[in-house]
Parts: sequence; C-alpha cells; structure tokens
Amino acid sequence: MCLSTVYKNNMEPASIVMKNVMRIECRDGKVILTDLMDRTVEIEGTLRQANLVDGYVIVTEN
Amino acid sequence: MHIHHDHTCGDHSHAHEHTHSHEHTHDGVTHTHEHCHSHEHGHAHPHEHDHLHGEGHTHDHSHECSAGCNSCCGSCHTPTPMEELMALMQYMANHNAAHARELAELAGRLEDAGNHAAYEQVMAAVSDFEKGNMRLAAVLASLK
Repeated sequence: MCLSTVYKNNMEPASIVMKNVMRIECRDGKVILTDLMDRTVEIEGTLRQANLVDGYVIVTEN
Repeated sequence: MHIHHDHTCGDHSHAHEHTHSHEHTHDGVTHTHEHCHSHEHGHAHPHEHDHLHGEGHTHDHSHECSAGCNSCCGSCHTPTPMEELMALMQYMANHNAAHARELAELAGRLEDAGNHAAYEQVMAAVSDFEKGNMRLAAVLASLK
C-alpha cells in the first residue's frame, strides 16, 4: 500500500517519471501511472520491475 | 466534466467555464491532467466535451489549440505545493494507521504464540504509532 517512485529504463534520479504513484495499469502496450494527486502519465512500454518493499518501479520504454 | 456554460445563439457568443483533461507529450511521455478554465470562443483548445444546454440536451464539440499548451492555463487549478503536501501528509496519517493495525495483528500472533513480553513491546510500538498519528492529525487540522 506504499506509494512508489517510477523510473523509465534506469533507476537514476534523471529517469524519474513520477513520484508518489498510487496506481499502475498496463493496457494497450502502455503503462499508465497515477499519482496521489490523480495526475496520470502514460508510457509506451512494459513494466520491468516493481519493488513494493523499497517503493520503486522500473518501466521499459519501447 | 462540464461545470457552467452560457450560450447565446443569436450572436453566437459563448462564455463558459469547464473542466477537462488535457493530454501532453513531453520527451516521449504522455500525461494527462484535469483542470478548469473560463474562456470565450475567440480562441481554441484541443479538447472535446459535452455541453448541457437549457433545453436539456447535450452535444459534443471540439476546439483546436492555437497558442500552445501553456497559453490556456492561467486560471487552471493545478495543485499547489501546499495542497500536495497536505495530500501526502493525509496519506501518511492513513498509512500509519494501517500499519498500526497490522502491527497490532502481529502482536496478537505473538501473544497467541505464548510470548507475552514481545506482545507487550509490540503493543507499545502500536501506541507510539498512534501518538505520532495524533500529532499528524493535529498538524493537518491546523493547516486546513
């Protein structure tokens, strides 16, 4: 139930796509992120890794 | 979502306020956010939305944007840093309360396992969580 930080391709500060992510959906070849303020980000790609203990997610962009 | 709409068909001037979602693409990342604004139809925005007229019917129409994504957001409501901070603090308060409940469940399992001393220590930790949450709740109340 913790919020996560989502990175694109690499887990480094410059690759942060969104912080405080509360929901992740994968559909139609996209990863759709929603943060605590209900803002969304769509990335064309796939979910590579989700670490729910450390609160980070890595998405691979196509 | 349509909030307010004035429509005068004779001279075809409309002034209205509405909220809608915009989709932007930056550096290969597409995102949307909802906001509201008022405008007259001298300019255009790239969106479609329903209008509810006095006659009780709805219709869709779309606009094209002529002045770039940042040109129309003067009156949009994007969360302020304080609003975001408040939302995060509220989330943390709820989050801590959930963890306190989970800890209490673990304490119960320790008690069931016959380790009363450990049970008491974990319940003391639950109490500390609850005290912290009371402080958070007080701060949140003072900021609202």
